[in-house]
Amino acid sequence: MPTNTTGVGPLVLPVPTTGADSTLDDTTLVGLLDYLGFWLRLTLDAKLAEQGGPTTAGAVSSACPAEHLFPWDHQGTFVRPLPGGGAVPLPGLWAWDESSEDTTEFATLLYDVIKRTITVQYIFPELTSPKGVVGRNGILAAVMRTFAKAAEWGKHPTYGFDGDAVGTPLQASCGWRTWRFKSAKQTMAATLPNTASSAQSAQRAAGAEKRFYPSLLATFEVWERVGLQEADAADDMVPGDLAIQIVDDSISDDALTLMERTLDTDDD
Amino acid sequence: MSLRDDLLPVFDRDARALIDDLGLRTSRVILRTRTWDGGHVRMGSADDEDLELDPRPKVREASPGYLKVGPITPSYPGGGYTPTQLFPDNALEANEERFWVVIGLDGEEREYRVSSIDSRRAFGITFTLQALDRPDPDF
Repeated sequence: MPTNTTGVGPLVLPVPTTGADSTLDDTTLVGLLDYLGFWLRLTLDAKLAEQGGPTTAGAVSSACPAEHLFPWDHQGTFVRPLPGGGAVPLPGLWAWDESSEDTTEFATLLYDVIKRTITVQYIFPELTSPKGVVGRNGILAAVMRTFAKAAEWGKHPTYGFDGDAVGTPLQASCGWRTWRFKSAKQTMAATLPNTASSAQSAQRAAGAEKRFYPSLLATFEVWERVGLQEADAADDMVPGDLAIQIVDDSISDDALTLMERTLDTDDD
Repeated sequence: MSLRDDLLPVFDRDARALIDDLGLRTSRVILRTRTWDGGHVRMGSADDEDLELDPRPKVREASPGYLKVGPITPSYPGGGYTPTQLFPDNALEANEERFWVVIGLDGEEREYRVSSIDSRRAFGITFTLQALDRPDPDF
C-alpha cells in the first residue's frame, strides 16, 4: 500500500512524535544557524580574542557561541538576557523565514520544490561611534564574506550537522534541493541616543557619540523538495493469478479471456 | 563676598549633607571615565576612574528612561562642583569614553548620558540623564 508519510525538505509529515514536551524545530533554520555559526567561529575567533573587549568582561571568546543560535525573529529582544540567562546573548545569530513560495526552479517532472527566503541576522556586542568602531570597522564585512564562503563551499571537512559524517554537505543533512547566499546589509541596531540633546548638553562639547549594536542582515534562499507518495516497503508480494479479459461494459462471466498468468513470490 | 557666596556652604554642608547623612539619598551618582588599553575604545581591558558626587544628590525619575539629578551645589571655597568638573569639555583620547553611572537600591550599575543641563540657578546645578541600557526591546 502506498504510504502517506513523506517529507517536505527535512520535515516528515505527519510530524512524528518524539516524547512528551518535546520541541518542534524548523530543521532548515536550525541547520543553517549551526553551519554558519561553525564557520564564524572558524574564521573570527582568533582575531576577536586578539583584540580584547568590547565589554569589560573581557575578550569575546567566541564569534558565535553555540548557545547563541536562535531560529526565530528576535523583534528587538536581543538587548535583554534570555529568560533564566545572566547576560545579553551577544554575539549571536538569529534566523527566520521571510517567505516561502512554490517554484519551478530546481523542480522536476516528478518532484515539486518550494523556495524559502530566510533572513539571518548576526549581532555583535555594543560599540560606540565614532571611537569604538575604529578598531572593528571590518567585522561585519568579515561576517558577510564568511557567509558567502560557507554557502559556496556548502560543507566543511571538519563539520557534520546533527551527527552526520564530517564533510557531509549541509543540503544533504537538511534535505534541501540546494541553497545559496543572496545578499547582506550592514546596520546599526538599537542606536542610542535616539533623541536630540538640549543646547546646554555636555555632548555638544564632547562631540556627538552614539552607542549601537553592529548588525548584519543576510538573505539566504533554500529550495526544499516536496516528497512523493512512496510505496510502503513493508508490503509483501503474494502469489496469485492474473487474467487479462475483454468485455463490453462490466466484468461478467461472458468476458473473453485473452491471457492468464500465475504470479510467483519474489526470488530471495 | 556676596550673599550667595556666604550661603553656598550652608546649602552644601548643612542642608544637603544633612539629608544625605539621614540616609534619605538612596542613589549614588558617579561620573566615570573609562580608559581602554587596546588603543581604541572597547578594545583590550578597561580601567575606570570615578568621580562620585558628594553629598549624594536628589535623584528622581523625570520620565521613563530619564533621571533628574540635583540640585548639586556650585563650586565655592572648600566644596561644591564647577560645571567643568561635572561636564568636562576636554577632548577625550581615542581610547577613552565617559558616562554617568547611577546605582540605586538594587545595587545595579546603570549607565547614562547627559541629555540636558540647567546651571542657571544660584544655588544648584540640575541635569537630566538618559539611560544607555535598553530596557524596552520595542524599537
